[in-house]
Amino acid sequence: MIKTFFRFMNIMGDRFPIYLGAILLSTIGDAGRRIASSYLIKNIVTAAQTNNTNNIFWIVLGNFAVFVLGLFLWRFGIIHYNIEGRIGVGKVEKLVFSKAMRLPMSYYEKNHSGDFMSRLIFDTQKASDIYTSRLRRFLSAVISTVMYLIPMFYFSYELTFCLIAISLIAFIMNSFFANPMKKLHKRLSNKNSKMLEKLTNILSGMELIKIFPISSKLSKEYETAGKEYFNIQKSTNQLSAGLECVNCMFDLIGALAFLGLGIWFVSLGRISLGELTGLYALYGAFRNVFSEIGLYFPQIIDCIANVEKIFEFLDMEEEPEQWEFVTYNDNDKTAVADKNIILSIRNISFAYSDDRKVLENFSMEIKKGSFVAIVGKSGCGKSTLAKLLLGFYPLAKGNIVIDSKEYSKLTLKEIREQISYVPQEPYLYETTIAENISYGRYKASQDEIIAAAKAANAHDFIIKLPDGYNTVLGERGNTLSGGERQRIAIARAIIRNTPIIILDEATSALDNESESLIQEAIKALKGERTILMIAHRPSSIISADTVIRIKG
Amino acid sequence: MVKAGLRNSYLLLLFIIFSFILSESIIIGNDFIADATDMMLSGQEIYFSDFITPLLCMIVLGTLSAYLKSIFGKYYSSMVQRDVRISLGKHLLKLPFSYFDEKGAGSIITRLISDIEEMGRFFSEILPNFLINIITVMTATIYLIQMDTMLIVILFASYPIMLVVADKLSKKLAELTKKLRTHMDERTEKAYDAIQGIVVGRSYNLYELHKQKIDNVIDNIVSQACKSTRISSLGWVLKNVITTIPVIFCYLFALYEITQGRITVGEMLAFTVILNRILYPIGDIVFCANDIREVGVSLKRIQEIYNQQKETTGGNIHNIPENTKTTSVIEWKNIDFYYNRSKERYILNGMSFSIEKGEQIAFVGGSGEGKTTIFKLLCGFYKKNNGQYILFGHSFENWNLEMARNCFSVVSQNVFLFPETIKQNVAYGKENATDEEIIEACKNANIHNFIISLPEGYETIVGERGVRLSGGQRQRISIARAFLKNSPILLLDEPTSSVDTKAEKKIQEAIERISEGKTVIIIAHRLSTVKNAKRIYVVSGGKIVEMGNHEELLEKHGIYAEMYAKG
Repeated sequence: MIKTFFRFMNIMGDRFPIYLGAILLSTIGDAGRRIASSYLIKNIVTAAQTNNTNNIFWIVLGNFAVFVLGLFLWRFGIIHYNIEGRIGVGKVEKLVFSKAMRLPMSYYEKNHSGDFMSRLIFDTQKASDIYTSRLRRFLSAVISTVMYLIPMFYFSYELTFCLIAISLIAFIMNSFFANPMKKLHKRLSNKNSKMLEKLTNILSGMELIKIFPISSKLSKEYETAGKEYFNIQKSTNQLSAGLECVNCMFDLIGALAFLGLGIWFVSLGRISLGELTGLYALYGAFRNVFSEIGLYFPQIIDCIANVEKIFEFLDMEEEPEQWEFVTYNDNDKTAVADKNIILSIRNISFAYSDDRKVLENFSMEIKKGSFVAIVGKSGCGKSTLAKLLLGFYPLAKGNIVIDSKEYSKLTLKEIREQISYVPQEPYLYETTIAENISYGRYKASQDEIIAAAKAANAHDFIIKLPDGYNTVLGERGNTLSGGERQRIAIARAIIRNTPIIILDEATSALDNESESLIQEAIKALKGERTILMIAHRPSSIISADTVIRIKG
Repeated sequence: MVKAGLRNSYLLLLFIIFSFILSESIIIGNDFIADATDMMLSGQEIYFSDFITPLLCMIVLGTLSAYLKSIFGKYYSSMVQRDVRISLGKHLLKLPFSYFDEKGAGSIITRLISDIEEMGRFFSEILPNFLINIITVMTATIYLIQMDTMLIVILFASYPIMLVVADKLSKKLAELTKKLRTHMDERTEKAYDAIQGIVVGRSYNLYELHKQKIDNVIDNIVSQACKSTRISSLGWVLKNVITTIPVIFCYLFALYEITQGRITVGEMLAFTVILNRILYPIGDIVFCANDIREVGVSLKRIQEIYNQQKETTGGNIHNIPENTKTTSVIEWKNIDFYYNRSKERYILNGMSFSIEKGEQIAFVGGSGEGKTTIFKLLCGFYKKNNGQYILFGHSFENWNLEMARNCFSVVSQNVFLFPETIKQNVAYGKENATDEEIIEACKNANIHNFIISLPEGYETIVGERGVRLSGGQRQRISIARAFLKNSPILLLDEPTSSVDTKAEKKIQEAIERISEGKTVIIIAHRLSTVKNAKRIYVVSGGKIVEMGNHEELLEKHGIYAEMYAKG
């Protein structure tokens, strides 16, 4: 846990000393101000008791000066602390979000993206609380405690020892709560994820909910998840109420029993009334910060539970730069003699799991500039083939040679630079149409974008939209029809200008008219680029040079 | 939300009562000490044992009420949170589909999550703190007034200034918070977008680009937060200056009163103690407004969702009328429609058609001509702007919406599968469907053989949006779902897209099987799939421009014939 904590602090890097320094400054400012005011009270009470008000003006003025100085020190510290803390949070968020984009493809297919949202938002927020509040509260409680103790001992070491004893017992009792609290919070966070998943189901499945009789079931599921969360919250409530109760008891003992004892001490002449009042005024502040140590320590531990979750996530295996090729025969390795072969697939095998083998010893060769259609039953591995070509999954066996370069020697980035992929359900980002197309080649000029849109037969409908190319698309591009989305995705592939284009059923949602125009566009690309079309119907393979049929 | 707050208010009341007892026990305890001090100063000998017993009593009473106060407060907060969550979920289910269609589920989800968290914070921290502060200050004020009214006057003299300052600052802060929140929403949306589109992002090497974008938004958040901290820390400084000066004056005044013999030293000691206890709450009450304003943004947004009108239940026609003379199933007369998001751009513009019982009808036309919109209107997801829509002889407005939708089964373009088992996904077609019925439906949809070939068969869990199944498989599962629903009208939105030739034939068979005695409406983009339709409507410019069967349309040499020639 300590390791986790330091690793988390390490994320701040060079700025950590500034961060710590800012915490220190703000604490000193705040504590100094309070110590000054306790001396003021002491002097006033002494004056009251002795009826001597001679120096009171200068005492007040001096105290006020210290007070103002303390405030400015505090403000200076706190501003820099907040800035550094925020920068730290930003760093964590950047790490988490960029990690979320670098996981292996299998992860995205296996995990509900509600999980992602929960991790990214809930855990990051909780974890970064350490930077923005928890750590400072804890550290400044510790530092102030020490600072307050010095004048307190000066006032009366006997009473101060009593106070420390009371506070220590309170502290120990608090620590008993730390562990069960941490466990409960972990459970709470899990239930929160589940609740979120159910809510996501409701929101994403809205169309089905309206048509099918499932709203009561989904509502019930969400309700159950909410109640489960509530039940854990109930246990958390009991525990933290217990904790608050213990703290309140010690607070009362410290206030009432201590004053009672103090008055008795005064009557015995071991301390003056002024000193007792000063000590008490300081004790108020001391009690706060000391109980804060007990209060904030478990909170930090709580947050560390979230930090651990974040690190678990950050430590997950990423998609490597290059897959390790386990087995391939020497003859899979040999370079292609024929310069006209752009893609040569050699004896590849792939299985999602032991009992879901998709491709076995699959080989094929594709000539440069040809238009190849791949057909076969659904589930036979057509889409998988595309994913393997894109390097989404490692090959279990065999090798692929692209443009005379072996996959085993290329990085995934290099592989993907050779291929433009139009998936089954083309994804459009929540930004303008122009930017969506330009994702094919960033920094493409407006003319190039329009040319690509024209080539994909998307230009005409785009300029009919009120904002034309600057139309901002809604989530998943749902402001456009399926055919329109697909054509934008094709434009994105065209602008990229890669030697190979893979269209995975790219024309399925197109009407006859735009399909025929796209077929023409594809034909025009043929010769210049190699086109691989994963197709299911005869109409889309008519113009193909070669048809490859995969048997499952 | 307000209702949930009120329903559980008995807990809040108990919380207030015990907070009061706690606060009172401290004050009474102090009174004992003040008396003891005065006794001592007047020269009497005091014994520790004399006043320790009442003090201990107060300690026990205080501790007990502290526990009860805390437990009731927390229960209140959890229960309100639970109630709001559940009622919000129920409310969301009842909102019209158009609300989600137009806003996009992702942004609603992220907003809701953080808003619900904020709502939780309001009920668990802000509200209880505010109440405790008020109670503490009130009990202390009453005690101090009995001692010397002037002290209270001096103490609160600066309050008006503080109110003004706090108000100004918190308004400014609320503004900044709102900006910050928008940035945070943007960040979440960007990240969500990048992850949802990971297939594209990865195959196009867009990682650096997306990272850059998200990083920029995060940097904006950081600089926004830096601005807020300058203002909020200034507020804190002012708060301290404004509260401390009256306190100093109070002490000086108390000193003066002692020299005049109006209050005793013991009383001054008590005053010091009490003042120490209420200084923090006094300042905090005013600045609570800050917090409330901050949370108010979230609460308002939750309330906004509540204020969204629920989908009406519609009229009171619940059943398809039997023995009606007309055989007309659906009739549209001059229907106009535009989406609110693109006002004045009519998608449907005077569309009329009628469909007889048992017919197989197809709509064809270019993409973006509003074919999918026809389905959305048929199912009542959106309301037409003008015209007449008659379903089974009754105006659609007179139908109970749920029952009207019961007449339709939809197999749509984008098939959503819940991240649950295949069996559960199919079973959604019918309430309490038996295993036999589910298997029967899957057999009809030609998906049974595939399902049992999976290692876990019907218990296989499908990934989000069914990623682990191919498009054809997903579509067939959704067809099985429609089989199970067995409604009189079947809406097929591109039913055979992304299905291979062999499966397409099987689906055609299945459709013929289910079509018996049913009305089938197909939206097709591929003319090959509609050749057999009894009547084909050609949609263009939001109108029906041609109609007839395949041969008739070909003879017209119109749009259809042109499309057919191209295809």
